[in-house]
Amino acid sequence: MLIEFHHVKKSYGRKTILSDVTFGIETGEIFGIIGKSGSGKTTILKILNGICPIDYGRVLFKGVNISKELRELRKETGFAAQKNTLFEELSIYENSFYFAKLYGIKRRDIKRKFQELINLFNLKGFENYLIKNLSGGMIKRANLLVSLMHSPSLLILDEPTVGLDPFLRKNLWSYIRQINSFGVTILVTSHLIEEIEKNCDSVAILNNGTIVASLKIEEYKQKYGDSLSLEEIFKGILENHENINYI
Amino acid sequence: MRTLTIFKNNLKTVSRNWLYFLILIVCPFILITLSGIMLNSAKFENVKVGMVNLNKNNSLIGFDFFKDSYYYSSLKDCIRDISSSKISICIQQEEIEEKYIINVYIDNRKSVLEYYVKQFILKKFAEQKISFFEESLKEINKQITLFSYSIKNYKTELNNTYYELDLQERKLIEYKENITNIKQNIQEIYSLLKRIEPTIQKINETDNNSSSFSEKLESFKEKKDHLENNLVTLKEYLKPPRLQESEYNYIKIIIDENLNNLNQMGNDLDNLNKTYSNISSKYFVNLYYKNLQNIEQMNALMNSLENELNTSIIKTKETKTKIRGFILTLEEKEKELNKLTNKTEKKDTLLEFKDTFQYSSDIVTFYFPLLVAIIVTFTSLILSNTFIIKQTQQNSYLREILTPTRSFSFFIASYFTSLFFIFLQTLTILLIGYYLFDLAFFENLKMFLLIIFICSSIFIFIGMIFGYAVRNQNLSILFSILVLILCVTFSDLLTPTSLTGPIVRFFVNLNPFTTLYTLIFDILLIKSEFDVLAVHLKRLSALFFLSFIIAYIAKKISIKKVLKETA
Repeated sequence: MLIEFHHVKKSYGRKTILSDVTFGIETGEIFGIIGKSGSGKTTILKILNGICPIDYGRVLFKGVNISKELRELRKETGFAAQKNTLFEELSIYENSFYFAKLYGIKRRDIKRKFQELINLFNLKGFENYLIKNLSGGMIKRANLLVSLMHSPSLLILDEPTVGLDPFLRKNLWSYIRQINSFGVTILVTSHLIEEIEKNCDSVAILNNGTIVASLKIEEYKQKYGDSLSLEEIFKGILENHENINYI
Repeated sequence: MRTLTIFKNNLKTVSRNWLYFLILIVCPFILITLSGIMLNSAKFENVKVGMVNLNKNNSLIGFDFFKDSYYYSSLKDCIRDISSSKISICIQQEEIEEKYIINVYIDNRKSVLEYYVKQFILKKFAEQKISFFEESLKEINKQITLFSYSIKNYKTELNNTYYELDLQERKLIEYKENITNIKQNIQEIYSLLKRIEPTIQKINETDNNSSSFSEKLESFKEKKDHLENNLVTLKEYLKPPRLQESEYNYIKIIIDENLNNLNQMGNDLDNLNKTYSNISSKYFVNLYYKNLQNIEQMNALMNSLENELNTSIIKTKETKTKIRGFILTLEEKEKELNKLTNKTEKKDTLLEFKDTFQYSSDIVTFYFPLLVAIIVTFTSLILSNTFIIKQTQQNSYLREILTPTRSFSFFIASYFTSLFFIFLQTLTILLIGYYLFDLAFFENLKMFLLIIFICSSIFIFIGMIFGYAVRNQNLSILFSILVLILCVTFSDLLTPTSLTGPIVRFFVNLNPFTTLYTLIFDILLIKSEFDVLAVHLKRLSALFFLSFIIAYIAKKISIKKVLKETA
């Protein structure tokens, strides 16, 4: 397992965000987390980024508690938030160079990696474009590009396709799959279950701060029937879970 | 290395915002140039003055330093022109009952002008008064010296008289003692004489019986002659043959011897008779009584003399006491005079306002350090503040936080970025000062740059503190401006520090703006040495480290806030 969550609890004041979260992510898979708004998806991502400390439980990265090796965790993870986190006054290359430097990457390696990624994300010819002059889709790709400059083993994507049209969404997912094909484990949250179903290997369903199911896509199909889409399964599980909670 | 990367990135992001860049570099340049031009044209000689002389005489006191003068026949006209700003000062001079009256009407709507005009006129007036005062004092001193000299002479004379009297007194006492001794001797003699008075009386009585003594002596002499005759007869009678020769010779020798003795006795009796007859006992008695009388008179005289001497001694003592009194009074007066002389001599000291430091009185030169201090303070505070706000408000701030780079590197890089722009501004100021206003920066350039570095760093850190701590952009800038206003308020600009109380002075001394202004002034105009500035530098260094620590803490808090907001 690359990542393991063991009975993780997190509250903000009196409000419980995660009540008892336990799941694991295997190396090399695309792991999706789905859930309703406010279910705690983004909190899980932020715990993994070291932004948000947990109140209870353990989170292991490669078997090591992340609270003890936060700097090492950050070296190994890449994060692409919903919104642009790049300098608008700088070009794609300058942003890439700057953030890669902050990860301690050498100039020669930066150039090589940048060339590799610029081709991967089909941004060739836009290297020196300022971020503020790029389109929404290009900015998303540039964000992904910068997040991958330090060759992380885990890429965390928070709602990566938000604000993109269907064509760009499809396009972006193809890039994500390409990244994954290089061995990068990807943790992604999305409210678009269809996307998750199509692109992820495993999916965790989060409801009211609890993981109600964490299975591979095939396992969901096997368990709930091939004819049902993930969205239908998700709805069924949630209804069932809420009924149980209600009883 | 990561700090350098962040620093370079900061420069890139700032330099690509042209408006930001314009405010940072071009505005200070324009500000200094315009201020310099304005200050350069300000000269006191340009003040227009109205002169009203109601005595129709020449000016009682010269106001030649005003180049632009207008003459008015009435005060009313002159004041009217002040109202219309044609002139700024109206000087009315008149002489009433041997008194000079100078009324100076100043356009007090312009307080700076009022201050300068008052200073100039008071200086001129004071110079004249002091000169007159000094002349009078000199005359008084001269008179006092003369009095003092006379008193000294009189005192010497009196002292001499006192010593003479003292000498005289001593001699009188000596005389008195001698007289007392003599008197005692006389008393003794008198007693002795009195004691022999009965004997004298007896002698006197014996003297009355002195005839029987002569008669007895004569009788005795006759008897001796008779005896002598008898012996001669005997001797003749015994001659040999009656007696043998030998016996006769023997008897003859004895008889001759007796005859010789009797002859001698006769001679003695004659002598005795002669002597006795020469001695007059009455004379002695008379002499005794006369002497006794003389001694009594002498005693009386001595007593009188002693009394007179006593009186003289007492009078001499009284005179001495009086003279001593005079001398003491004179000494007191002399002391008073000396005090007065000392006082007047002290007052004789020239009152002169002298400049402790020698520097160019040119207004541009004078105000240039203030301009530099204001620009450095303002830019450091606002620049660092806006820079940090810009940084923390950007989405990239979150991405930076998520990198393994330590927050200290970001902090230092942000500080260096602000410092770099301040350095550019300082360089611009230096060049303007050097080429436009001929200010000699290069004599003490290292010290100048060091002061700018420390002070601007303090203000950068303060700006950073607000940038990190106050997340609201407008509020953060407002806080920075408030600090700037506080710095200007608690400085020498509004109220001189020397006039303020200890608490206010403490805060003013802590104010880096005041220190910056003072130090730039000292370095540029007074050319102070390092050791003179060391005290300020110590305080600034303490402020530097304190603000550095607080700014870093603010940065840490800011990160927590951002993460919390993101979470």
